[in-house]
Amino acid sequence: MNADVIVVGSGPAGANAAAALVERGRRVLMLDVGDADSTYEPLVPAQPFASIRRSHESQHRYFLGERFEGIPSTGVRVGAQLTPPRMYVTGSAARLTPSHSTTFTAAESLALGGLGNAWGAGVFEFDATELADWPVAVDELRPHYDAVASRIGVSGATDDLSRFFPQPASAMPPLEIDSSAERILRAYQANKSSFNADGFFLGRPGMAVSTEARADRGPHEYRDMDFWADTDRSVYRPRWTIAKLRRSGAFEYVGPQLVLRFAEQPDGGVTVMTRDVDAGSSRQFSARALLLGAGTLGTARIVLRSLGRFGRRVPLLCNPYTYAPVINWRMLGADARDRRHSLAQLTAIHQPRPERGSRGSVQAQLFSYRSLLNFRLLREMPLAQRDGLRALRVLLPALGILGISHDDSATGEKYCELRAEDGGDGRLEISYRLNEGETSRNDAGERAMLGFFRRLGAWPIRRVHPGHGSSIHYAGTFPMRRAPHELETDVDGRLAGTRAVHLIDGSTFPYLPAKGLTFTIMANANRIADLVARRRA
Amino acid sequence: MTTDGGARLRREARALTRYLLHVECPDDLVERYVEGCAARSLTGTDAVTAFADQHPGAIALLDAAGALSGRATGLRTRIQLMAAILETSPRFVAAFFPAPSSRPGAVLRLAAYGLASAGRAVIGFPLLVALERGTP
Repeated sequence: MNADVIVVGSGPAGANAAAALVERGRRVLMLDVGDADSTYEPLVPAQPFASIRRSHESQHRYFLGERFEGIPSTGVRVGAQLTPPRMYVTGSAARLTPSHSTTFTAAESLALGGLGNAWGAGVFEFDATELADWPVAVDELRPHYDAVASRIGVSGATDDLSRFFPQPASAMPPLEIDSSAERILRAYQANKSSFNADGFFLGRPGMAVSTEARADRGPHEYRDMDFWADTDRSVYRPRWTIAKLRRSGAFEYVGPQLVLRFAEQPDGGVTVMTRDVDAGSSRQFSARALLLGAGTLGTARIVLRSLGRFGRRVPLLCNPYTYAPVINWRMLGADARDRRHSLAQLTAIHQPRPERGSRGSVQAQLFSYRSLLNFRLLREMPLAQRDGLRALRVLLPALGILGISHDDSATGEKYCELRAEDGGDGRLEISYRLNEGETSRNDAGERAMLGFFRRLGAWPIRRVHPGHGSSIHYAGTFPMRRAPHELETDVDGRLAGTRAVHLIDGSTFPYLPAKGLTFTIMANANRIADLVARRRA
Repeated sequence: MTTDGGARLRREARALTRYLLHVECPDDLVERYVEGCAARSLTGTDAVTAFADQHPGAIALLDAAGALSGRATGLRTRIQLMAAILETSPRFVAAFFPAPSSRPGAVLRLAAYGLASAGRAVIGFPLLVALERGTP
């Protein structure tokens, strides 16, 4: 196919940019490695968790993994939530695109659909204060949030979180929450004005989950198997979009291609050099424009290598992230409904300084713990494992996991650089250190958030720090500016010094609020694709 | 893996199942444990594991002592593997699903498990230290 635009990567950014381009009549070539799960998907039955546990003889094959890879060998670490059926998502990236660091653990994906195969499906718009460093206003992004919401399917409630995350017009009814979350939400509502006065807000998050049937997806079946399979296809995965695009004559997907570099041609076109991962051979592809959505770290490699900027540091942002197991005492001894989902039940926001808007807020997501199985927790408990198993039988209906996110800004101590190596493509080195001010501010934010949940009857047991990189929200390497300098991007996401190379993933975010960035990545990719399509018309 | 090694792992699977659930381990799960040990490079042994093999009654003490002190990782890794295998078999599902209880009953049971584990840890800790130093 003679493509107008090459899109690199099939994750949330690439899939939504490609969809926007095809919708506007452009011909798109997508280059991607495209790892897929060939082992586990057929093994997991479309049944509820409890029913599988009671009757499925071969459940160990996917719950533990064919090589027992689902049993954690260390404590909670980056990517701990990936179950054997999801491990392919990051599988070959460690081999094909390794990064090196003593302070940061990176999780990247070369899978078809990228990290979108394992995202939490949270739908969070950035507000005006969070976009203050960006040359794109909320009103410019709004139509693209709406377009993406229509494409991916969003469900959500109108509640106390609506002031932070307005629901799109196309929103479906929210997911039902489980018995434990219901009790916590009731406790919040009983004392809401006091909590709000202290800057705390609680509600049901918007989710990229179909709660109603739409075309070949959904509705969500409440099987509590969301960590293991997509049997009802209700949670949005970028590969659903790619599958739809592949039925279009204006889209071509070429894998398994690892993109190494690009070069702009004197005639105005762009050439992309790849390595065929299976054959080991080199290939070249050309088009009028290039959209890079290889993930923040993947895009950094491609850009720095293409521009020959070895040894040049670029900033790196990542939401600091902490887990806290909590016990909801109102659920001790209570029956929990079996019908439930495994995604975030509730979202809490702490806005310690309302005069700064959402900037500096802390966000927590509450998950109920069940379908990740008891054995994963045994070595985290200070009990003999026999006693731990018995204690978990008592605790399970009340056990929750809070994931607490903090915002992140660029400092000189958070960066990555591509180091030249003989005969290689360069290796990405990452250094990520929080300064004292950031550490103490995050610590205070976590204490406040845990205190809020304690007041709601959910007692935190301890805090677990899985290490830098664990949020898997990476951004900020080539920040977007109105007047960009070298290694920055303009308002169109175009890399300074290039004519037609646009970055569409998290690379361009100069600030990371304490919330999931995927929905905003998709909206921004849609926006840039829209601009490119109009200009190339 | 040697024949002796295989026999030891099978013995270990049975002892760990008795320890965790007070039941006999079915043969297919014994074999799954042997496979799991091979897959996770747990076919070797150390002083703590060898002692537990000879004295299965000490597993509870060593496990509890390891839990509180962060030691005995080899033995605790094997116990976790066996627990994972048992949990993902439909035959033992009842032992892993929530146990009905009143709220006061739940609190009492949690306290009892905590105290029992702490008591075993107190007894087991000197034994664990001695084994790690090679002076059982």
